[in-house]
Amino acid sequence: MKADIIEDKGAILQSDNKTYAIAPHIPGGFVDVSTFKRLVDVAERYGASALKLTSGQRIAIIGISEEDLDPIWKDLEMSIGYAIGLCVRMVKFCPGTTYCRHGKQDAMGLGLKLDKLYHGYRLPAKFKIGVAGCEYGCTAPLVKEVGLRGKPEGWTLTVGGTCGAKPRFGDVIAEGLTDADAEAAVARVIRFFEAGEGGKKVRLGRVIDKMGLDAFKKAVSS
Amino acid sequence: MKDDILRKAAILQRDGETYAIMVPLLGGVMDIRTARRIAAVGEAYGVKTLKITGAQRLALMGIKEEDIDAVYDALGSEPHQGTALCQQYVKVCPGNTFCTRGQRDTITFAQKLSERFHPFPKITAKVKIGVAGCYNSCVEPAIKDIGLIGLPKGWIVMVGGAGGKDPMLGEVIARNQTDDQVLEMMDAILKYYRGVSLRPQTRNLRLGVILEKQGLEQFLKALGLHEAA
Repeated sequence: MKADIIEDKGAILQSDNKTYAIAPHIPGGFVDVSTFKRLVDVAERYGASALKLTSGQRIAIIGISEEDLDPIWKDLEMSIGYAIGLCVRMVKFCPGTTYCRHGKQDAMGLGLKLDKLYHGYRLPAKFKIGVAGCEYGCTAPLVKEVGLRGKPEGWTLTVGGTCGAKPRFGDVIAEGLTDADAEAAVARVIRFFEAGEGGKKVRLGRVIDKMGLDAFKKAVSS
Repeated sequence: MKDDILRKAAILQRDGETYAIMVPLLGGVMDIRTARRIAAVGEAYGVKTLKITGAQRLALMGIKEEDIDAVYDALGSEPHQGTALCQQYVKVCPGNTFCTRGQRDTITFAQKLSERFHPFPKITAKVKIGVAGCYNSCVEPAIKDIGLIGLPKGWIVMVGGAGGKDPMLGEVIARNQTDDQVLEMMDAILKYYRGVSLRPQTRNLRLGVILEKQGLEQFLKALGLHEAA
């Protein structure tokens, strides 16, 4: 029996029960052409059956055999994308004011910062972060544990969103935040969650439902 | 003044000069040869950055207006009207083709529905479709206009989800559906959506808003479905 996931190698067993997929870390899904080319070269060298753009804005390299996991990571010269495990799975962000005409806030700037701070950060349960530069929300921040949406007057912070068997929109806990405010508020939410009051594998939305939104707000207010 | 070129599905960037276009890739899946071709096109036309979008699409960013046609040519594809600005897309998880959690073949199904419906003509409002192979919902079907969740017994069909300014969770309208049943249902849903999106009072409204206005019962009746799940 092969392991379902090999966490320290970022490897996920595929449905053939033989090969693995890996997903290098590509912050926000922004990748320059030369890096993309190297990724394709390496994938070919190790006999990948396909590449897949994922919902986490990554490129999964599919069909890698277990003994190739170490060498492929070495050749990729990229770090692991934490598509698995109990941690901050991803910080999804949109092009924001850097590229997109709809952008109201610097989603790339804040997204990159949060990515650096939290991508792969161990927590009691799966945790996703989505940053969108406008209310269209192309990174779906409302169904992330932490969602930030840019409005002209600042960031709106939502918490506890999720989209699985029991979908739940995040609750707004702050509005009109500057980049620094937003970063600090996210830090408070993560510190609270990290303390693990909700128990293992209980996602933030359920924790909030259990304790009540007001109590949660109080707990992360300072 | 430049603007988006919708007929070429080209999105004007913030610099007011260059455009982003999407490489058509069903469900974001590509083989090595296709990936190589994309890299070569990017290089040839001075694309600096590729972006994997929230919709699992691959955007080539920073293309000059005069290069747009040549870039599509070099990619071996054509622009699909209606696919710019995320107006219409189909987002697909790896399903049981790749993922050990997958309970249905999302990729083959998405192929079928793309061939038949994508892009769907004359709906000016957004048409976002999400096909997930299990309850974990990595493609977020609950916030798509039409969202599917694959389970061992068949598909769950949800309609009317949205994740933007007026967020709405989709309503489950059917369970345990076969591929063909879902395709027939989608045909009815999309025709209905096109009909209402052409009427002045309901123009440009997302499916979820229309549903809210008309009520689920009437909607199901219009589709010839009487029983809500």
